[in-house]
Amino acid sequence: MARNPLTLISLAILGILLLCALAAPQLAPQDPSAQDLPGRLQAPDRAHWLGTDELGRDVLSRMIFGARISFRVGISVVAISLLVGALIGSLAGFYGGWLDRFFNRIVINSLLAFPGILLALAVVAFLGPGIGKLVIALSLSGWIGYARLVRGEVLKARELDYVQAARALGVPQGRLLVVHIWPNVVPPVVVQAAIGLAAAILAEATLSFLGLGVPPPTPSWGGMLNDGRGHIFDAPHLVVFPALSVMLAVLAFNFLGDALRDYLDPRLRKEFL
Amino acid sequence: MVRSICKFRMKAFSIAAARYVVNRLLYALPVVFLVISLVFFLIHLVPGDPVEQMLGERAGAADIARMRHELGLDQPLLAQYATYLRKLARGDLGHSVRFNSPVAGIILTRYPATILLTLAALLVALLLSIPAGVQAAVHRGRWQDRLLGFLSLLGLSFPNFALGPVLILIFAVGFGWLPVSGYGTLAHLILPAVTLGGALAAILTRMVRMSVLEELGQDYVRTARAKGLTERRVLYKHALRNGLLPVVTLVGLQLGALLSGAMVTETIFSWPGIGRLTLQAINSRDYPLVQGCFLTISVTYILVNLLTDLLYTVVDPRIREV
Repeated sequence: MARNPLTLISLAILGILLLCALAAPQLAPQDPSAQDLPGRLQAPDRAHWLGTDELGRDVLSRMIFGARISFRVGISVVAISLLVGALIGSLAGFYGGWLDRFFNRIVINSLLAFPGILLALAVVAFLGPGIGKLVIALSLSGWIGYARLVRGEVLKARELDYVQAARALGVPQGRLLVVHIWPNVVPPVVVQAAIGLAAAILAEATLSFLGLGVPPPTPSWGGMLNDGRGHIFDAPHLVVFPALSVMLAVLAFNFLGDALRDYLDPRLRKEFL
Repeated sequence: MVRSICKFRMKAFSIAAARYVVNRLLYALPVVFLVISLVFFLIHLVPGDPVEQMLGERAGAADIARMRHELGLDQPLLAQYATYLRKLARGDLGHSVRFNSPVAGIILTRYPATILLTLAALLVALLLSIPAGVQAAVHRGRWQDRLLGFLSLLGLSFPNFALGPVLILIFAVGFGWLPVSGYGTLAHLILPAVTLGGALAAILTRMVRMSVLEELGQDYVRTARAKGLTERRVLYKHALRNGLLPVVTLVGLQLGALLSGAMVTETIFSWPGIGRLTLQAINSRDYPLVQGCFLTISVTYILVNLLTDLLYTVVDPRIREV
């Protein structure tokens, strides 16, 4: 896994971004919300490595603090979605019957009828902005993927010989699920979680870009892009740097997901990057 | 005799096809109903009083009461729901607060722009991905393949809200070839369509490559080559035609992403479509209009998926028989 240079680069990028998120107050050269109106819209120079925005705030400092929001929202959304999805998927796949029909046909199908992040957008539109609400809104559609994946894997694992043998030996149902079936489910879920982090970060940035995510003045990459859009002629750096950081984070998590997939299941190894 | 057997088989076949179409339609109905219900309950998610939110803090008590009555929010929940369904059946989506006109009318004026943009984006995606995917498959493992693979991954990770401004920077500000924003001419359509279709092109390139590679290993391709057909004909007439089946499904599934991506793209390029309208409605807390927009987008999505499934049966008759 570590031999692939792309994986190493991705890990390095994610390591740097995670460090920024964890140690933002120590790493940021300036206060991300300190305004300096006479020094607004400055191009990158020695004092401000990535320039300043329309209120004279240091772009680099805001980007470092923005990483914090991206990771916080991304990790929260994936954690909640994974917990809910794994629980519902396991129960539906393991017990089958009406429980499976209810979740699989009714709940999941009706939620899937909303395209893309529209469901999250609809919920945020009516709930109002805020980080907590954003996490709820994104988790609301996020758990579906995990539930479907876990259900499928549990269904597959349930029929394996050794699981049948354990059942025949009288292993209690709960133990059967947790000790014998779940280890089979973990690898694909880990891969999905890595890719899910990319998707959650992208969704957060998209909603913040639309002005429906993290409310200002909290710095977030999507919000910074939205602010910078009005200055695309006179200060293009306001658009370029946040765009690059979203792209790098998403790209790195996608590469990591692919690398994990290869590592955990070499049969699926893809040659197309 | 042979003719009558053929006729009989054709008849059985069309009955099976008709049954599939009816089944698929019946399956879509409850989903539409669920979406309608979800959209109805959305307004009850609003913290506090939605009417006060819409009218602002300075609104008088009489105005608030009047609007509450107009929206039916002073009735019991079930009665509200029944009224909502009854109005919807008549095509009445409510009254927009901001525009002071019927929601259905406003949506109808904006809808064509979104359809135009979405179709243009789809066209861009297909025009880019089919040759790219085929070339990657033909040059499997070589530098062309790797380059196209890298570009498609880049396209996948580059969000459209970042791609839009970057394209504006390069082609509108830098070279001055295309307008920054607006609506009306073909030149106005190019940048938004590329912005919206870019990610889809990336996904489709991977899919076209994979499925063409699969087809190239089949016996019929070897036969076509043995017949002495040109490589171009083998590729595009034989392998690609069969390889397009999974691509059709993917396009159907991805149209939903296009519809929600339209919201971002329309905002960036001031495109007068339903996506930008939704956002304007959200920002001005025009809840009836927001509900109408979400309903329209979701129902469009369901219809597109339905059409994709039906189209799929036309392209691949085996599905009807299953």
